[in-house]
Amino acid sequence: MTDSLIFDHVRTPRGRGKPDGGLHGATAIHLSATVLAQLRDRSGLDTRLVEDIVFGVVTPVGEQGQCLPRVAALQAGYSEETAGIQINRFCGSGLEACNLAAAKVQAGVEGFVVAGGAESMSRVPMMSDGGAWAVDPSTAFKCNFVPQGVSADLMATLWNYSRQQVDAWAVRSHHLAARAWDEGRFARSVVPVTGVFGETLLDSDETVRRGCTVEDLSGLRPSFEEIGRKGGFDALAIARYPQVDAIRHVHHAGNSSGIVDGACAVLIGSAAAGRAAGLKPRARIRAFAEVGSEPTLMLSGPSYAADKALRRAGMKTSDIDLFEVNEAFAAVVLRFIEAMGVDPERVNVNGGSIAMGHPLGATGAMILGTALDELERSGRSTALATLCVGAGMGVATIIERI
Amino acid sequence: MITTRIDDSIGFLIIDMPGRSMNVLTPQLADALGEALEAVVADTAVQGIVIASGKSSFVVGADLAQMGDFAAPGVGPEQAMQQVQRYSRVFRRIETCGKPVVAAACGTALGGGLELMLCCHHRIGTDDPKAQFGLPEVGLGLMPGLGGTQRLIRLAGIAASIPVLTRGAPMTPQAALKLGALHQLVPVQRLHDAAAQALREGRVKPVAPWDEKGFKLPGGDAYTPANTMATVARERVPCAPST
Repeated sequence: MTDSLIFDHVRTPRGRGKPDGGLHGATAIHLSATVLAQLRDRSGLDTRLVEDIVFGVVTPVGEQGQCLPRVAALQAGYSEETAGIQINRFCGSGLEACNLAAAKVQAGVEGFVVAGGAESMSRVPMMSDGGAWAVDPSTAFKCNFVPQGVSADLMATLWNYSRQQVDAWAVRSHHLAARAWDEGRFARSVVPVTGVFGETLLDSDETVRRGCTVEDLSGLRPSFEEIGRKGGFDALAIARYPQVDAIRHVHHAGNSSGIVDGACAVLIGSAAAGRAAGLKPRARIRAFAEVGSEPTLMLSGPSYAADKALRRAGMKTSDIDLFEVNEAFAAVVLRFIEAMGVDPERVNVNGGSIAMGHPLGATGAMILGTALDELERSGRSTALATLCVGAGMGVATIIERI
Repeated sequence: MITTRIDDSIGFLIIDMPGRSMNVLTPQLADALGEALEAVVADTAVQGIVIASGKSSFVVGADLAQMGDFAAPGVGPEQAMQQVQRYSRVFRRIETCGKPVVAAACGTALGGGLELMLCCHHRIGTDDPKAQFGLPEVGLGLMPGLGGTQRLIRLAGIAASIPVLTRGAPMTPQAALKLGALHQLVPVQRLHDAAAQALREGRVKPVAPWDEKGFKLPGGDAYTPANTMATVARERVPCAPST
């Protein structure tokens, strides 16, 4: 089986996902064309060698519809021979895109496959695409649907994470993201987004809050208490987890992933493709995995996906130097750390989505790139990236620096 | 350039450029309009504002002699943007100042003159058969850059606006009324009274429709079939004769 290698990756900064956000004036197509162009230009890549582009776009409607990556490739001036396909595995889409690209290469695709994702949450709001899971009663009842925030609070209740603990993790995310920016740890991989006059729209992650403290967060009301109580979702969650007397609601906007705009592109290919393009690989994709997990709890997938990826790689948890665990909610990471028995000092060492935001279709690819940059910066060898996913799933990827 | 007359709680801003037969938009006029506007907005005795002209036409466009300033040597994109914003800031301020503003147009309003009207909350023209309303910028190789592309579409919808924007042909007052660019047509001698009356009767909301929550584009968005056809349809239009 052919090795799948990562040759390069590029991301936009993450703009606040509101009309006053720095990237609100940029469509997802423009964000995608930006990263695709940068990926091509900085390596002098002949895009006739790029066979396909796999992009996660979780809300593929309106401006983000119509097979966005193919259209973005045309806009970026890629060769006509480069195909594109949009995928959706909810929050895990960006990493799943990398995994599918790797699978194509491992299955014998000769050229490169660009993986990544794009999401403009300020222009195409989350859940604009509708869906039956929450809204069709026959589906919602059968699946015991509860909203994600209630699942996060259920997780905190089951494993006893206090409000103080989840807020402390949020502060850590901001502190480490600020440090990473200040030290230029993202400089190699972030490309500014420019407007029609060439003016810079955004050049850094604008939701990072330097100097954030637990006191700053302590006044925020739990966001999911009302829907849990009035919507009856707490009761549904407890019906599946009867060991819980009452859900302790600890999550709020300050300790959950931020809503932002952004895009990312990762250049994946075989060693032969690299030789043809004159590019040196930066990492090998050792293994990837996808799992389904209990949907009411919903967010427990990461440790299962990580275990499966490790098994597929023939590796142990202790073989992994760095972890990137998407900070959908603080409790998700706290649970992963406990379930896997890993050292928190190895987890999200440059901050995470609580500080920098979670542009749904792109995040998975972004955190893989962040892990790779950190491996190179610190001289370490292996990293595992994983995300929890709506409807109870997990996705994971293990890379090894070359 | 601008004379302010307060008449029983209504502030009339009369545009009358010295030494010209017609009013044209210049940076200086934009500044003067901005200043006059701020004064009546700040004046607690003024409850409604009318923008009118002291000439037989309203405002017939931007001063073409100064258009070259945007492309002068040393003027980069950022400076050009600032020059445009010298106008568009005032226009947006008219729209958002919090007091109702009526545009009372005698005669013709073209280009930036019509764009000035579009940012007022109520627009009155006259039934003068010689009066023209339109956005003729395309005929000069320009586009309506002072909000015409944004406000006309939000007023009249995509399908109705595209021909007006892309052909640049002038409209009669009746056609402008039908399009939604004007609210009212009156005989010219009644123009100022009609403006004052609209304000005094409380018929003018000091908010643009698109600044209200829940605003939806009339006629649907760009994906609505009728609008898609309007945006992609191509036709050969005779070029304006070169000068």
